[in-house]
Amino acid sequence: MQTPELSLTLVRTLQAPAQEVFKAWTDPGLIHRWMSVPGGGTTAATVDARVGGQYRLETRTPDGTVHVTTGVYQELEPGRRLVQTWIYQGPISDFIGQETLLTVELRELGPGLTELTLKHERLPSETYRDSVTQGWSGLLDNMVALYAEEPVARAEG
Amino acid sequence: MVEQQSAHLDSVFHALADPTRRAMLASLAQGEHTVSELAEPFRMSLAAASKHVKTLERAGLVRRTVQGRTHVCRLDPGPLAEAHDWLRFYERFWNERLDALAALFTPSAKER
Repeated sequence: MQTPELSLTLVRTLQAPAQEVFKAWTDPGLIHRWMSVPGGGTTAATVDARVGGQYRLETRTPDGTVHVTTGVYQELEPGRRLVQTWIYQGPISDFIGQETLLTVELRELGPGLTELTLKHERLPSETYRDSVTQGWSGLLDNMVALYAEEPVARAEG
Repeated sequence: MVEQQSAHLDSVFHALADPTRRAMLASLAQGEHTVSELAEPFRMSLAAASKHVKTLERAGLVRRTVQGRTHVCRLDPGPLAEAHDWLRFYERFWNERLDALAALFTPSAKER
């Protein structure tokens, strides 16, 4: 039986301007800075950041497996809103090709302070939801930590 | 009390902060050994080995009994549990972070 509309929503406050946070999602050179853990990370990314454009991420988990994710940008409002499909392409077989929807909304709370709301929808199962909730939580915490660093170090890195 | 505990943790982590002493603990985890047996793999003098054993003793990690002229050492893991408790408090922080990518890409793997 199809479970209706499983989704997750996470909110974080980041010490960075909304434009900069937006770039961290769409600039291939910046994605790996937060989409990574010790021993793994997004090692390759191609991004065509326009509505209808595609992206492709290759992410190595610490066990050595390289996971491929693709999707199409549906909405791009720099500094405000990003909607993209999120399709896992393998190699773990269970959810290959399952199209899910990822929305990132940014709201500037003040100078250099941005509230990020991540919504991941059309999730295929509760197990999937629990798991990606843990995944996104950890990666958004990475993002919080990244922007909590000295702005100078960030610019140089 | 807190200070006393903290001083004890100091001595435990100090004892662990040396490759020779860690190797000695590994040997003792297999069973009792004399000080000269502990010294053997390192080609060190008995005096030097004895100094390491004293550091382990101070931390409460090693108990020494004297049988005639030989000193027999055995492991007391109690203080390691204290150190582990201290580390465990922080475990969840790195665990959550470490698993993030695996969780994002392998939801099915967790069910198996």
